[in-house]
Amino acid sequence: MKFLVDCERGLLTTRSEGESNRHRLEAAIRSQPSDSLEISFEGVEALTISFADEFLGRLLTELQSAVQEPVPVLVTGLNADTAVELDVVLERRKLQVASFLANELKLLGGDRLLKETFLAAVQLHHFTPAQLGDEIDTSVQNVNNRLKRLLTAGALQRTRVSVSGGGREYEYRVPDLFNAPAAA
Amino acid sequence: MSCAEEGGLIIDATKLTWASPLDLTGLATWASTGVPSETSVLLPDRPELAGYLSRMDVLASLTEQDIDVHGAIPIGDRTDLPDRLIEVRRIACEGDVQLFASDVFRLVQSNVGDSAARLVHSLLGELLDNVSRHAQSASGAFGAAQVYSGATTGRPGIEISVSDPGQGILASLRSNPHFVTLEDCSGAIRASLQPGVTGDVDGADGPGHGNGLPRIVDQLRNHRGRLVLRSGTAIARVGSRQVVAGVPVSVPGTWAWMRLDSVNGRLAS
Repeated sequence: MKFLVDCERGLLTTRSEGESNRHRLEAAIRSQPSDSLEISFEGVEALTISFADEFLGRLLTELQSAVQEPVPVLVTGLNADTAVELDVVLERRKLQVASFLANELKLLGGDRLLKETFLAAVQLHHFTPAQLGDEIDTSVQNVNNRLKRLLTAGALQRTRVSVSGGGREYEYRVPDLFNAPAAA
Repeated sequence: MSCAEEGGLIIDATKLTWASPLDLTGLATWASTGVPSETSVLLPDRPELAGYLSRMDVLASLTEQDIDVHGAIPIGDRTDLPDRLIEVRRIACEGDVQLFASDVFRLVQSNVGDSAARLVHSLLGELLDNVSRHAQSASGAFGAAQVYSGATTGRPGIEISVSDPGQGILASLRSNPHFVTLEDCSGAIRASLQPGVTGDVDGADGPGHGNGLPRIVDQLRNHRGRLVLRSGTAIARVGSRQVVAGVPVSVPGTWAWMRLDSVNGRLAS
């Protein structure tokens, strides 16, 4: 599902605007469940922390606490400044979301380590925790903690697979939605 | 400006020698707190200043509120300057907030560019959000903005002010039990500039609140900007340094003013 943020003058200012957009998106999700969600800020020149908090802050809080296996979520159509506003809000709320910014995937929110981990995951595209740990020179335990947060944010997906010698493990991948968000 | 409240509210601006957008919105805000039929404003003795108040629609705002205005009002042709000025206006509803924010955005965009306009929109959003969330002002707020070319002052830049006649910073913060012991307006203003200090009780509105004013200060400092906050009997002047002082005359609500300098049509940094 692609949701276009409603914006009359290219500006998003008030909490009420954030609330009405959030309600519209929540209604769309309820009426038309989808296996992915692209939130587009196309045409938005500037936004405020108040709007971002009321719209995306609250929305992601609800989404990330409501579902067991989160769907991929991608934010698109941002400029450098609107991305900063969203980043500030998500950092304050200890949330994160993947974004497509200047033709690159980036993580909004989260600390520096989590952002770096996400970028390494994007480079690998399809990997096990051990492979990602090798890539960023970090223990598997640390990697798993970060992967859990990225998974909850809908920034990655995982599949349980059998491994040789018995046992099972998770393989992680970058969601297909992130490959061509404009076409979603 | 001074104020007397015996037998009504009299705002005496006769000795005013200079006014910024903060003084203009402050005057309109102050006047809005009195009973209209018992409120009077004495205009500045200096004709050019009385003319400036008229030009910036302060007098229109007072007249709309049925407030008596005393003094000579210079009569002259009015030149509209939508690309330089946003005259004093009441911001009373959601639509007013959106329109004011939009007009300020376009004003800054046309004079100092996209990036400056986005920054100002973000900072103004914090001020307007404070009004709607914390001021508890039944009559909203007053806003104004002006772009200065620097032709007379040598300092080009943008000034924006938002003043509300609400409960003020001290009362707002005291609604949070953590800050109920704040003693005076100076302490309250000082506290409000610290991260995480809010009237929001125990994060009832979600985490991360109480960072609006500190963020404004950080952003302004990044661009050599300044913030002035007045509330009750205190004033804070924040630039590269922060000075909070008590003032003898208490003003109603919270008055905020910010300035960003520009250099060659771009924000100073």
